Amino acid sequence: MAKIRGMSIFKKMGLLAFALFGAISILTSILTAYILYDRMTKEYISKGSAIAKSIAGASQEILLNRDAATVQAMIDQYLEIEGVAYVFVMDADRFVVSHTFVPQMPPRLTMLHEFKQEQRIDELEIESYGRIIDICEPILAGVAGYVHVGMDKELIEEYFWSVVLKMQVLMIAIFWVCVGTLYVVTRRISRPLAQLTEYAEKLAAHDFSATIEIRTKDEVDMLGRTMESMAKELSTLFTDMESEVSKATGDLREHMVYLSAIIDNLADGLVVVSPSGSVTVINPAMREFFDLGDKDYRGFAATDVFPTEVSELTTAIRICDSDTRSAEIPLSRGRTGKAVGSSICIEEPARQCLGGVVLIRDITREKELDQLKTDFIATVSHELRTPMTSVLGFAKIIRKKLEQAVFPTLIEKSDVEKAVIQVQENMEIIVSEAERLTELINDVLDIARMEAGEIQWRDQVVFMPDVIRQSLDSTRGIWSVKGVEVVADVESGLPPVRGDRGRLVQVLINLISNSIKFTNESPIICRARRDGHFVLVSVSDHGVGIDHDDLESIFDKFRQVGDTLTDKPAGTGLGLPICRQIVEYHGGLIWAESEPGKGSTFFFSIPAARIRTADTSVFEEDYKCVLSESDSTMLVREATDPDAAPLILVVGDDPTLGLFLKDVFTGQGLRVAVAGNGEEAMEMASALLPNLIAMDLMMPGMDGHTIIKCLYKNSVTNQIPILVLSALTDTVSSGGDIALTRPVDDVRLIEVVRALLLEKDIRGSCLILGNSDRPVYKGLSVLCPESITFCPIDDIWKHIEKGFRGIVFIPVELGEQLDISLLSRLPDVSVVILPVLTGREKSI
Amino acid sequence: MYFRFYSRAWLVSAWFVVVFCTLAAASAHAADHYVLGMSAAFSGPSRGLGVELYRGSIACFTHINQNGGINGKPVVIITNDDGYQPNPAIMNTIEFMKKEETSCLFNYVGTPTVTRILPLLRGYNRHRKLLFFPFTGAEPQRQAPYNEYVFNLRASYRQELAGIVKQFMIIGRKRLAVFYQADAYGRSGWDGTRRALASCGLDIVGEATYRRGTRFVDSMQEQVQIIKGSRPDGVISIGSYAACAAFIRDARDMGLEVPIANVSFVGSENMLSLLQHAGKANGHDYSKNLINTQVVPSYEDLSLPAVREYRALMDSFKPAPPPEADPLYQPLKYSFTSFEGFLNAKVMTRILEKFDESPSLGLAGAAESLKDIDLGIDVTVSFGPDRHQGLNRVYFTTVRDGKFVPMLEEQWDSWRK
Repeated sequence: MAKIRGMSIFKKMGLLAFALFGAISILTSILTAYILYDRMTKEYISKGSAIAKSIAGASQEILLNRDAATVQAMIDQYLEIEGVAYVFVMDADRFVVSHTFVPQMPPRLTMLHEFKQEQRIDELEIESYGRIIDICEPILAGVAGYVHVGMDKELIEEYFWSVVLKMQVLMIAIFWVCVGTLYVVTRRISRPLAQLTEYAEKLAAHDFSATIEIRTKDEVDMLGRTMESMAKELSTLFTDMESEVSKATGDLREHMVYLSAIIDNLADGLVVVSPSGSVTVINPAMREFFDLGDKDYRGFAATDVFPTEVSELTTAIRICDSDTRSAEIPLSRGRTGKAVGSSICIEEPARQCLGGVVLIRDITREKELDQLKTDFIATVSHELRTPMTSVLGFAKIIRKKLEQAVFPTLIEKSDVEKAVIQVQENMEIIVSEAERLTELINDVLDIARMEAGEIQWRDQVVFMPDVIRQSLDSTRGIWSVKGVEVVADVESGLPPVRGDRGRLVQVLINLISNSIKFTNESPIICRARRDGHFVLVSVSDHGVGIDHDDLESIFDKFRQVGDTLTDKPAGTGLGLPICRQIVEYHGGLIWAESEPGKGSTFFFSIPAARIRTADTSVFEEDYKCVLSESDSTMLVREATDPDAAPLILVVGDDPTLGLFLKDVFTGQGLRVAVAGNGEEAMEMASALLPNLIAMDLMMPGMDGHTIIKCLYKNSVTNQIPILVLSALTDTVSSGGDIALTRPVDDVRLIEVVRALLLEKDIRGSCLILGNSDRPVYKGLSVLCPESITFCPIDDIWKHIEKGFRGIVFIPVELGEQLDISLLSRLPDVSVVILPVLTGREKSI
Repeated sequence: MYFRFYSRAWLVSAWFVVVFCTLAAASAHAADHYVLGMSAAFSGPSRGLGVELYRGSIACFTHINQNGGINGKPVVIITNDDGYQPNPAIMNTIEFMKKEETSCLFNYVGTPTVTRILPLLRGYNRHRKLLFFPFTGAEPQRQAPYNEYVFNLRASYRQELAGIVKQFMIIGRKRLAVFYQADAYGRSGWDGTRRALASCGLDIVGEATYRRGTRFVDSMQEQVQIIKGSRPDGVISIGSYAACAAFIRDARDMGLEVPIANVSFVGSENMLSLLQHAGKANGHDYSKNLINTQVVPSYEDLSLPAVREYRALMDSFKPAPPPEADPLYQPLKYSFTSFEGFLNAKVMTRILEKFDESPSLGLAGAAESLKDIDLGIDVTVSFGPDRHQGLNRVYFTTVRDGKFVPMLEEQWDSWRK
């Protein structure tokens, strides 16, 4: 039975009836009692008057006779009358001759006043009697005395309350009789209703077998029958519905089994995490990848089950606020996996995040293959580059020798003129092809190293305008030849970026070169803009353009747009992939937009760096040094010919000084290169690796002191001795190795130069491990015309770090203590193992 | 209540008629006898008065009857209990007056009862009967218009009270308080005291009442408190013996040690008996400083022939209480009340003898013709048309050796103030 909250209707009605009945009965009884009270009071007064009159009438004679006992006997009998509280008689002197008080007459009553002619009625309250109506009657107009009769008013009140009480009792009795009757009657009505309620509750509890027994042949009976038929209908509906549901459940279960089997049999590992980060699904492949065994991990936090890399991925995707993520993840037993994570999100009925799913594929094999490929390319490139350097170097020397020494002698002979021209052309082809091949090899090596992660990236503050300027300068040779103009359009106030300046220059050079390659129309515009938190750089041309379909693939390795067979191959096809590698490394994006026939625009964006202004001075200095540096991998370094005369780099903005020095050094059989300013000097020093740098301290822009500092910082150039020529006498703090005060005389200059060259040029020298007391092997002086240095075996790496290039002789007994293969792999270092005391040398 | 008394009266009279008829049949004077109707208190707090009065009279009449009665006619008392309440007394009186054989009314007890039946004596349905020797000293039956229907033997309360007031004056106790019953009896005592004091130029210093029917066990402390508040030299108590004994007990308990005087009506022996019982229980002698006025000589005064005769008859007959009497009541051996009853019977015998000699005189005439009758006490009794009271002397008694005995002069002196 459902509980009725609050009171049932019957209870409410009962309570209301009780209250009404109570009010009516109280009011009625009070009214009745009040009427009674009023009536009785009047009755008492008239009764008292009658008694007083009677006593007064009878006692006239007695009082005159002054017989108190007779009066007493008379008044005693009146005391027996109901309601009479007391009687007393006074004589004419108001002396009380008889009274009925016990134990004594209340003093107050003797104070009462009397009328001589008429009756007097007082209401007063006397202790031990309560409220009293005193009736005073004069006897013989007061001549014989007065009689007082006291009527007890308390008695009237007693009657009053007794009547009220009796009426209440009667009313309550009547009320309960009515309640009893009503109860019986209402029960007859409510019983079928209760039955109906019970039946309805059974229906609510899906008990359709219940029946209802109401045969009262009235509305309730009809309602009962209707409910019965309704129950039958409901029963049928329920049965149908249940069979439908069980069928659907079966289908669903089958489907679930199917899906579950698919997941279990996936070759890829699969894990699903809930938005809270707990694991909900995990398949056997996943367990195998992480050696998780058969334990049920559902409900565990993903961070507890999986290594950090997977945990991070699940954390990123489970809240549906990011795109698909992927990562390479180390698996158990040294394997590598490629993980792809995506959020599980439903849009209907409302957007809701269900967590994330991570798929992991075992790519160990692919990685190995890729590594093999990278290694192969690197090895091949390296093996190719060394001979190619020689080929290119010698080709250039041959061309130079031919042009300087051979062709002038043949200029008179017309019969060989044609051959000379042909040789000249062929040499050009050899040099240019060798240069192209070198470039290709460098590119391949570059990309291979990038992919292998072997590149050392610098982290500097870089200003994009400088990068653009340097790139334009570097490419000036190409575009000025082709007659195309390249224009820089740089927004003012661009923020700097963080990254590797050289690499960024490489990117821009690549893009500009590409544009020059494919366009004949000016101008090529190189723009730099701020784009939110990025610095956006673009290179636009009006060239042939790129097909829409090719816009993505041009960034793939070895993909060049167009038919490489018909079009002249004008590049390695590795430029853009390298660019992409560099830009993506910096956290930026690179893409191209094009309209075929109208031109194309290449964009790349680099995140802007946040720099504190306090760092500016430090940054300035770094910047200058960075500017002066060049990576050896970028520039083709001219092979150093050990036999060639020492190269002296002359730095100075004064052309006369430059010419003078060139003359002096050339006359001594030395080679001379001239740099006009600091930046040029830095580049050339790195590129040419001169044996000596002669420098004028006073120069515009970068001054001599800065150049010297930068040169010493650079590991490539810090071995080069620096001769400072200064017009000032105070040159001690210049920082160079030696300083000469201008004007200098030839002889002094040459002496100093020779001294510096002999002292510092150790590139062609020999290094013998061991102590100097070892007897010098015969013939070593032939191999080492300049100097032989002995060094302890532990110091060999210091020498290598300092830039030692040459032949290292290792006594065979010390060979065990040294990683000879590592040493031999170093460029420009040859290793010779010396046999033990045989007197014969063995070279490897 | 009244109805109960009425029906009992019927039963009792019926019983007496049966007893008497058997007796009469044996003596061969069947209807020829003198019947005296006696309505008195045989139950309730004053039952001792009715019973003892009856017993004294019966002792005398039994003796007379045993010696042939009044000229061969025995004297019979028929009793009806009124419980010392006026209405039963009225009903009983009406009953007696209706009966032809009742010669007269005799030995009524109590002022409130007697004063209420007086109008009946004047004539009720042509029945007229005289009342002889009611046991009360009240004034109404001694004065007009009722004095001609009533013959009194004992002195009046006024006489008693005048005597006691006079004695108190002599010993210098002038502040007198009155403790009295709130009814006609008490009022007549109060009135007597007042009049006696007024003649000396004094007034009652304090007064307290009690309700008729109060028992000995009830408290009288309230009344004692009122009386004590008036600082009296002596207290005059007009009441029944139970109430007076209670008052004396509480007065003594509360430290009121002044002499307390009681009138003859009180029934001295009954009162003393109650006080002695209470005194034993409480360890207090309540019998000190008591003065009881009597209207008959002390039954201890064996010099009087009447006393000797009374004692002899009481000893020989040991009269039983009337059948209505409370069965728990223990009759006294001698008492002032029974002695008064005895004297009443003795005078009544003389009257009946006179009447029997000359019935034409009527009972009233017979009584009025008696002159200087010697009853065996120290005074003679005379009646006349203007003299319906036989005795005027008042006797003072006090308690000595557990008995009421005549007061001695030295006793008065000990109370002198």
